[in-house]
Amino acid sequence: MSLSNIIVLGVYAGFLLMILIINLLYFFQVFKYRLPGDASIPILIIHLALILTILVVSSLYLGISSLL
Amino acid sequence: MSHLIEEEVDANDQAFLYLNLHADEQILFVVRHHWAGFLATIGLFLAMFIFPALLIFVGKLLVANQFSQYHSFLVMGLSGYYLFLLTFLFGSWLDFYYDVIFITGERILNVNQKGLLAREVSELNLHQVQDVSANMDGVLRSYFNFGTLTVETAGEGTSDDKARHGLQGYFSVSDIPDPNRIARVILELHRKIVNEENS
Repeated sequence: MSLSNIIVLGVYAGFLLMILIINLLYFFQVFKYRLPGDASIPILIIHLALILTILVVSSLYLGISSLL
Repeated sequence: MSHLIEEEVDANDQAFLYLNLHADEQILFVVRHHWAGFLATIGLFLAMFIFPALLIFVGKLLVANQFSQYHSFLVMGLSGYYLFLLTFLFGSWLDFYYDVIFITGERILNVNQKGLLAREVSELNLHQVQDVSANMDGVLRSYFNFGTLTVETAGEGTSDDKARHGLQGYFSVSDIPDPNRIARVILELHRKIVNEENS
């Protein structure tokens, strides 16, 4: 693996960490400020499902394409 | 509209502790912004959502033979972009949805969410109310029945209108569902309190 690839992967990992921290803060915010019976939890679940879909699909794609 | 204006609320629920309600104070209405007020953000999100597809289409036309070399970088860039976009959308939605107005038997409490983990709670006593007005301008607001609610008071206030922000005796909130009904409710409560004080 070349140095430029390692740098790109490092930047991408740092970016993913930042996104993870922001989403954890949102998660905390929802559980702290939500009101009984509001739409926060369903929307949070949809948001997490979309985030996980992007992460899993892109990781699988990158993993498989590096093996081929 | 009923889901935007709640009328049966258990004020003893732990979720309302931060409002510091008085012992016998009941929450009569919980009012959130109308969903149509979020359409501009959704429009921006959709435009940003399709933007990379246009960029890739143009890129393929210009440098078709070099495109496969950078496929992995492209996938990483796209996934990062869409993760950022989803996080931005969710943050905007929380900002929008967590702005709430509580109308109790004594006060109006305006909870204003300000970004991540910051919120401002301002209140005004109903007996201070001097004038309440509802403003619906534009096709969208008239069609969906939402607009700006303005309460003029004898005390300090807060305002969504930047030109009149924090002006003395001025309390306004935008994108309120059925603002005429809310204005009528506030005036009725004010009249009830004044009548009770006089008697």
